[in-house]
Amino acid sequence: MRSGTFLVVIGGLAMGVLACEESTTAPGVCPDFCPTGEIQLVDTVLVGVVEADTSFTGYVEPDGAIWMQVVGGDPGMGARSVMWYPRFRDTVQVDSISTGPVVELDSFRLDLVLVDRTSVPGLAVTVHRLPPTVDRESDFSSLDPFFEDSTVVGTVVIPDGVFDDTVSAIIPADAFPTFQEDSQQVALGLSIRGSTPAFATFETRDANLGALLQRFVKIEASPGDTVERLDFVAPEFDTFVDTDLTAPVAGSLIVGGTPSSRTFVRVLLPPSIMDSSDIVRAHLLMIPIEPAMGAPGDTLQLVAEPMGADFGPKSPIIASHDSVLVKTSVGVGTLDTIPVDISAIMAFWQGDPEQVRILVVRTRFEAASMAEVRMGSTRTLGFQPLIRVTYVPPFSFVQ
Amino acid sequence: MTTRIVLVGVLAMLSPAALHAQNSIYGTRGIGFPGRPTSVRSLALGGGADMFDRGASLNPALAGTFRQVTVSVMSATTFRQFTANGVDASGLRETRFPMAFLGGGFRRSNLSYQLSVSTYAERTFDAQTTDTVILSGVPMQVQDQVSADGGVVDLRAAFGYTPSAKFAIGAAYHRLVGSSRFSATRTFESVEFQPFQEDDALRYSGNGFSAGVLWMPNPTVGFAFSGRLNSSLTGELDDQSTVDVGLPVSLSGGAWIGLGTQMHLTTTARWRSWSRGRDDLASTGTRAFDTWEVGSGLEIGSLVEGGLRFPIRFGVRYAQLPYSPNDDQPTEWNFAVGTGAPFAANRAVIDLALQRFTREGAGASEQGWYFAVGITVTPIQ
Repeated sequence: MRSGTFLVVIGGLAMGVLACEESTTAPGVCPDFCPTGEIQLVDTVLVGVVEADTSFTGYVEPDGAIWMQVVGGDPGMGARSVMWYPRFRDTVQVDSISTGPVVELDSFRLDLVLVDRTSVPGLAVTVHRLPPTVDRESDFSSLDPFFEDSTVVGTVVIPDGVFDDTVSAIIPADAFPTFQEDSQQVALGLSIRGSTPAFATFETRDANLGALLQRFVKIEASPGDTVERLDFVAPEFDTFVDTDLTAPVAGSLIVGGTPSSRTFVRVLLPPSIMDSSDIVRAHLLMIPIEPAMGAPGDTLQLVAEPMGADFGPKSPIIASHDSVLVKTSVGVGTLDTIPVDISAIMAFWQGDPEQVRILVVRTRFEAASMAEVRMGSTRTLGFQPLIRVTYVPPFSFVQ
Repeated sequence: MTTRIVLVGVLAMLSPAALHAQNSIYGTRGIGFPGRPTSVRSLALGGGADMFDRGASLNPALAGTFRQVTVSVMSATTFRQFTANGVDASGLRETRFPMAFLGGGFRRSNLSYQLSVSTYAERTFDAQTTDTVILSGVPMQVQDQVSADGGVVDLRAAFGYTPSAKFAIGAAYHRLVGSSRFSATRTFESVEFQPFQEDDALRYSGNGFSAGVLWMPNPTVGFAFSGRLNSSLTGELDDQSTVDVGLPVSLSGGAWIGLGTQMHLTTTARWRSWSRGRDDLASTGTRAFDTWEVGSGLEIGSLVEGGLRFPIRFGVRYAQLPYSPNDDQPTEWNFAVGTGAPFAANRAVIDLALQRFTREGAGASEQGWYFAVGITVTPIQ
């Protein structure tokens, strides 16, 4: 091949190869040079598409919750946390090999993992000594005798501005005069005293270890030789008890509270939306018929999840990972309409038309707070749940 | 034999999806931007040789000129920019394989054939728009993207007969196939809104028939005529819904004038009745017009024995475009240059063409360059 021809051949091929990168994206010039019309968007509130709704109570008891709440300062409501600990051992680890008998008890330290609180200054939680034998099924009022001044053994001061941290109280050994008679077993209660309404919420053993109780002791490491050591116990049972809230209006929907309540909603969106459109956002609008109840300053987090089947109260939830749940915060005392994001549920239903179209609204951490919302149902005129949906009707590529 | 198999394989590998021609903002309307059934050589001649160059698939009579198996492929890249309604876009670039053919003769007869694939219409675009919508009383910025990739491909089986060295006739069956893969997306400023995306594919089908003659009464002059009839083009979406668009009748004529042994002038004119699809497209706000295309080119030198090694080609072309969003019919001017060179012991030819195009009308203007390279191989001579 001659050199000139060779250059033409190679040059032509090289230019062809080098030009292979595509760049076709350009600003649309609508409507004249927009390809096939515009993407339409409909944002509307649908009335009457909630076909049925109801609430059931009793899913999670406070002793199974991951948080426990202490509420005080409000004569109309209150909550106390109670922890039962296993017995401390007679011996404590001297080192990694040997143990030694406890010869002297110095003090205790109670560590509480704070997860939420009222932002009032000078918040303090009072620690009470309870007989270990007290009935673990006791309610708020039956525990009154154990939350008198005479039972106070310490105070956990929560620094202002601290909302989630570990807070502690030192309790002297003599605060438990019957420690030995009680077989070295302890039960503690938490309360908030004073006249300022306040609350504090702590982790329970269902979240992690719960409220750890440490013991500072001297032990006999060897005959005539004592050393200081500490050991600790985690609660073997913890819960909180609260005052009863007022009875709900008949027919209302309830979410939250203790034990926890859930609301079931059957949704029947028009086929033109469910079958043919793309839902880009959907909210279940729930209208409170009473101000959200609970500790002043507390907040509920509501989530919605789809049901796997319709078996009434025991219908299985298709559980969503917490990271993908869209939470709706509701402040205690609010009467604002509660928009619960159900976009993901709608997408799930659109992807699986055979699924039962029922969703459940619950609190994110059930029975972890006494807070509760009560909303209108399909049976309460003017307060019926609504669906606000934003969707794209079928897009036509050929008009 | 091995070379022949390889070349046929290369031709076969050029799937219809890859066979689209240059793109244009005017391709967002109707069935897309009309393709040109031209070769690289004829492209450099402004399309003037479309009726005489057997690499172009406009005149089926040229199928009668094949005596040996011949394979040709073409690659082309468009660099373009446009302005429309105050919107400027530049740096747009697409590469396509708009034409390929396989031709050959039947032994001891004057009958020969040509199988070709070419672009009938290009339907590729990717348009982004930004808008603000009011949702629950709150302004929300959204970004839309509507794109299509594909087009209508013309599969042609042509047969030609050459009763004498001066005359050839031919006829061809055309099968229109291909598809455009559409996608529409909308994303929202707020993550509370799920992005919208819808995809679909529009599959095209249609038929056509063409016939043509080539008459070269003496070595200095030649004439060619062809005509083509098409059925409606049917587009079918994934959901089975269909749309029909009337396709044009096409009438073409050309003249070839030899200006000595090393120079000739060619001209091709074509009329197409795109308005047959007017009623079908009315609902989209698209106006359809009949079109005239006229191209002329001058070639100095040739690749035949004794010719210049690198012939020089010039061409100019004027064309009306069929679709518009209003009553203003867009037009196009092309200015082209090119050359070619044989290699592989004259069994192969590479052709190059560079075309400058400007399009105007309907509230937009578009300019750009179109670079094409083609390789034609005759493995056995």
